[in-house]
Amino acid sequence: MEKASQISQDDTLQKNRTLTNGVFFPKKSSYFFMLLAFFIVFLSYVLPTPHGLTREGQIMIGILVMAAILWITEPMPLAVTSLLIMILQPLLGVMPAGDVFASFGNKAVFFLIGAFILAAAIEKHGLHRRMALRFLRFFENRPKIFTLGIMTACAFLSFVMPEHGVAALFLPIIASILIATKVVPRQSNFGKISMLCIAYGCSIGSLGTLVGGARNPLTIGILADLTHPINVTFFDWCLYSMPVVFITLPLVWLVLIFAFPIELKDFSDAKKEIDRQVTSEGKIKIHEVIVLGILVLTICLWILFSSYQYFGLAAIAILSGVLLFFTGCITWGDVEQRVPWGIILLYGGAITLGIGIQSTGAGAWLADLIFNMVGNNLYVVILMMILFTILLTNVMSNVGAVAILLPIGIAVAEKIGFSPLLSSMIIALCGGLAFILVIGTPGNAIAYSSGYFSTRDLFKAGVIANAICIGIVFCVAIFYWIGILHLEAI
Amino acid sequence: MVFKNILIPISSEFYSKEVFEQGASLAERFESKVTIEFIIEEKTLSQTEKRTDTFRTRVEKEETKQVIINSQRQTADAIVFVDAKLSFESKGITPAKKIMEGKFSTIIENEIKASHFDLVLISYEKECLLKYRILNDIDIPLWVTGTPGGQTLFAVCSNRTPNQKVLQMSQKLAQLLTMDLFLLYIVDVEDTIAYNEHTQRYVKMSVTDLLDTGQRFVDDLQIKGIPAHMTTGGVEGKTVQTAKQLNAGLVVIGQEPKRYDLLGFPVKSINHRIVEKCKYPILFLK
Repeated sequence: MEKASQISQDDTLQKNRTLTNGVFFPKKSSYFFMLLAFFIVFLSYVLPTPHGLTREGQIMIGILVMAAILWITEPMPLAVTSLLIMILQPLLGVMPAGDVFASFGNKAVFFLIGAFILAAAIEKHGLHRRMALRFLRFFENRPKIFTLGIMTACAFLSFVMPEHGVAALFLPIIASILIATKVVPRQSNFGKISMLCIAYGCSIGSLGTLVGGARNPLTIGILADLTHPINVTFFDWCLYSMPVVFITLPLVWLVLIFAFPIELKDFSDAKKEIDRQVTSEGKIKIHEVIVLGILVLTICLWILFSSYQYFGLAAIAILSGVLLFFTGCITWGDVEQRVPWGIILLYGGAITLGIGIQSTGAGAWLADLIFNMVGNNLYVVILMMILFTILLTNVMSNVGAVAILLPIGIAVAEKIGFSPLLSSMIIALCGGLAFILVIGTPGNAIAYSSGYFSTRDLFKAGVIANAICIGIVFCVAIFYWIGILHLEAI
Repeated sequence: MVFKNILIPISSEFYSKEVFEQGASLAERFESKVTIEFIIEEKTLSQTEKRTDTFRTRVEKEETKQVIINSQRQTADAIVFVDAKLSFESKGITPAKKIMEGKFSTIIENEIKASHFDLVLISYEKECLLKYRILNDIDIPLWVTGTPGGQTLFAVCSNRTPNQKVLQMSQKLAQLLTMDLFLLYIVDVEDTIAYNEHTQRYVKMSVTDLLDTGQRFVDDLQIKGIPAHMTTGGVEGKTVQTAKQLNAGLVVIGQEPKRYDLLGFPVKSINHRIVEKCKYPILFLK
């Protein structure tokens, strides 16, 4: 590969920076957003406190706004913003340092670590690729059905591993199938739908279990740390979220099919390519069998024994991680290479933000404000939560959007008199529905990099898909969560 | 010959067969050498990396980057270069082919410095992460593909764009492409500045002075026997409107240099605005 310019890896990693005499400096706009964010914290520290709000609460609102600015504009890595959230609280006298850092002792952090080790083993041995190809084979008869297969396969794999890992896995598989069918990037609707199915399938699947997206464990972590804790098990989560997944998946696929009518008639080349890829995988290897066995065992344990009186989610996740080491399926080197520690920091910042907002009364004060604006009609509040979360998650990191909105949603629920579990599920699930912009989720960016669809295609399909999702989540909330499961009363 | 060495860069973000069809037709007409470069766009790679930052490790991000690069290379070999072969071989031309990785505009600039290209032919797509900085920064003629209309070469001169080369090149091209030349001088009364070709800077002028300058320009041409017309209005609006009325086969216009607002932010140039709105092929000259 000829390189146009000698760009170091750091250059691409540090997108918001410019190189001067070998030293990276943030761009002007990055300085502006950082200064703006800090200025808001400064204002919250020096301005007089309004009626009904504590001084600590006012500072926490300042930190919340700062986090929102920094997570949306990203002048620094997301995890660094999280560290800032953590250190500002003791520095500005909101909470003792011990209490802030104790948040890292949350079980959900260890659940995340265990889940990442499991995902690392799956990726290391290529088990995810084998599963993906086997699954796609069931859908290889017609182009239209094949795109449904891509979406379903992405969603199912996102039940057991992080969504962005699934998107990265599917990109080369689908790209080689598209190349085999000779479809032209940007011009072929089959190409567009196939790549959009990767992005949307991963996002939708990530709602289904606690493993797909980091915002899910974050939600159960914050719920478990409330003054009146709510413990959500793996099975509970699946029970609450799966109807959204299984209704959204086919409807979003139909949106794509209607928005971009498939022109491809002859699918024989694609079949050959899928068969070639399946054959190239060869026979399943012993380590793949072991990883698969541990994965199945872990999921069974999560479903059956993750409740509070048994082992808990984290213990099972860590147990599966240790089993992977015992069986030689993974080494510490693999863990170092494949476990993104940044997300643990991101999680830590997000959870301390949630606890700080709640414990200082800032959440209740914000809930009062919202209550005065929207009123106390349950349906209007639910609709506003859905709309606002989907809007925010499209312009910033999903975890960031959920971290900002969860404490407010919980306070609003308490104010109006329904369970925080209901508002948390709404925010957590809607937080994963970023369909409109390339920057919405890593999955969107990975699929966009294929060159098969334009930003306009994503926008067009995303707006319709998001509008449908608003209706789906609203109906599920009213008829299933409230009507059948009575989540508002838990 | 006018264009002896043509560079056709294709961004991995946007590909259209049209660029090869027009490239082949130009290369045949001018007996040019053609180089096709498929550019794996740095912007999409870095955007992916930025989005997955925090969520994926360095090793995983590097793997994903390689996956994207490999997929793009396969697309270039199996689709883009195959289309190019079909378009050019029918005209008896064998273009050189390259795959590069980096920023679209930077690669084009480097290629122009390294080789003696005298025309860059691109296709434009608004709905990209790519910002086409090259529309303002290129030193050689830049041809942006479009749907060719009739047999009229529409040359645009104005107070906001450099005009000298437009005049020379339009006459030459009209002759070579056997097109009718229609020359229009637009006095932009919405932005009352004038480009000085000697100092290569803008100066503020009154509307009356701008009209006088425009009239002198048109009169000079008419004395030389070149029919020219004058009008007032926004450059991009008038250009797009007139191109449509003429059903232009080609629009030739001077390239507006990069400009900045009072806060130092770049102003969207008329080059970008014309390319976005005009469906006909456009040749930008500096």
